[in-house]
Amino acid sequence: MPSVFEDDLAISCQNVSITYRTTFEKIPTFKSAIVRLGRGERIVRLVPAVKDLSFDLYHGNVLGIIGANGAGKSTLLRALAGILPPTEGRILVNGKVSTLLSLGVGFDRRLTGRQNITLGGLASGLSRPEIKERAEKIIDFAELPEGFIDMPMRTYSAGMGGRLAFSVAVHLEPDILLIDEALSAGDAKFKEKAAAKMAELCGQARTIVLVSHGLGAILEMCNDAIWMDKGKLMMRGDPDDVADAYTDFLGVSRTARSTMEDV
Amino acid sequence: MTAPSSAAPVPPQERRAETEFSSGVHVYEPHRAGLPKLKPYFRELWARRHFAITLAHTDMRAAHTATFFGQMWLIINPLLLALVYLLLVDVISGRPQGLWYFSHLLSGLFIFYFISGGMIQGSNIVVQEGGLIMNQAFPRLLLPLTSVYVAVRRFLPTLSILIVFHFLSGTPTTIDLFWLIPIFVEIVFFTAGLASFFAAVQVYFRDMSQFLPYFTRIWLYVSPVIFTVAQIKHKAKLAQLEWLNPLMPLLGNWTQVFAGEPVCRTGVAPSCKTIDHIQTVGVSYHYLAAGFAWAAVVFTIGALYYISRERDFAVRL
Repeated sequence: MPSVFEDDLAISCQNVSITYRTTFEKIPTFKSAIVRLGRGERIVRLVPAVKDLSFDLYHGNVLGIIGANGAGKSTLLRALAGILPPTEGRILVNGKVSTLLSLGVGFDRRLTGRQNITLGGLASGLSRPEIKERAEKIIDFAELPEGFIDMPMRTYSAGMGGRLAFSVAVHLEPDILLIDEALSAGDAKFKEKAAAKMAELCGQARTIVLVSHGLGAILEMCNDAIWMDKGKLMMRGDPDDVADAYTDFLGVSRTARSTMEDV
Repeated sequence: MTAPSSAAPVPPQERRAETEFSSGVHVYEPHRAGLPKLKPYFRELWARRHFAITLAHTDMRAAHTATFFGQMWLIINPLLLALVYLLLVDVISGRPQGLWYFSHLLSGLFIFYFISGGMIQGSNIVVQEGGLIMNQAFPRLLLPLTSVYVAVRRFLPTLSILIVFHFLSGTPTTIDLFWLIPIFVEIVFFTAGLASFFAAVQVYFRDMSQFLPYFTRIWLYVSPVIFTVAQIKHKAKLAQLEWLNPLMPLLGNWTQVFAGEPVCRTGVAPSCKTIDHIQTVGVSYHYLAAGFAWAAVVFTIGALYYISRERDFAVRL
């Protein structure tokens, strides 16, 4: 793929649109497909989650993405991670990506924390020795209560699971770390520690994209911010300015968007 | 606080990624149904084999942890299954079948349940591992291949039962038995193709997993499991299936090489009234070639269909 690409450019979104094609029924089945075929119908509803979004992000920055539920923040993050393909436009991502998305790191709750570290590392393409080398650092950083690391993850509290997931994601040594609401489960002390770790990553010219409905985390950790609404980019700039504009906007039509599901 | 990580980021110009799963520059463009470059795809797939194996072992451990017999079920299950079919055949044919028939039946049944088990588990795995798909970018073909790996691991212990009955039935043990290895490889690829195909189909039609058990039941009856290859060839209705049913060459070769065929003292082979002795049946090269063709075609179509669809999975789950 020939592309002019500056070396310190981390992410480049070029007119990206992401549209989900969903059918009306929640779970697609043969029966409904046959019935539809018989009637000659095509029930496809298009859900435009991200509309014509463009931005560039350089290495060494922490970008916050804010917006109401359904603004397309999580969808955008999944596209940056290569999980969802864009419907239109182009996304360039320069570097090794590690994700910390809202569902955890695809962790298996039947396994112990230690086994999950191995599984998460293997999934992201590390070898067993590489994982072994990092496991102690990961466990130290997560600061789980005594003994929990060798217990199944279903016994963990939400906060403990979130801490371990964050610890795994930052220790995979990503060039780009994508975080979706993952810090909401941690307590104040861990949030502080996480913020310090993220600052350290940025110091090494790595890049973090942080998605949150909450303005607190964005204002604390980010040096750059994007405000999305209904899939569109509303504003890009200094986190304080973007947050001000966002809260002004929310004050006007807070009720209108509060019913939509997060996509 | 941990010490700062020692590994400095590699300068970007030294990294040029070929797929979205490796490090370097990734380009994501609209391609809902296209194929990625296959060479780097399969290289990345291979690089994550330990992940697939770990995932498979997790599944297997979880399946039997709550039971009294635990891992023993891997042996008990197929034995009970064979008993059911032996009784069924005894009842239908009206007379007890000998040890030779039991050996033939077991060899066919176990390998058939390897195929159908891999296929049915594979068909569910994409939907089942939705969380993983929504959160990690990796070559998705790993998932159905994991199911096939689980099926192989479930099948291997049953080989011990097969070996016991092979000796009990009096089938001569010859060098020909080594042909079972290439035949098994054909069967594994064939199963992987089916698992991949149905895994992708299942995402679009969730009813698939309901149909599959009935489909496999019928398939069992028209394959050389309950009947021998010779019996199927003599049945006018089933004879045409020889080149239509991929399991005829695959399972036919397997059961014939494994169990041989009886030479009758009275009656007509293979359903003798009294058996004189068991003779070996060498591998059928026709069947070996046909099996290879089926495996290659089914694996290629299944895997390519799956890969062409896998980017759509995250939207559909």
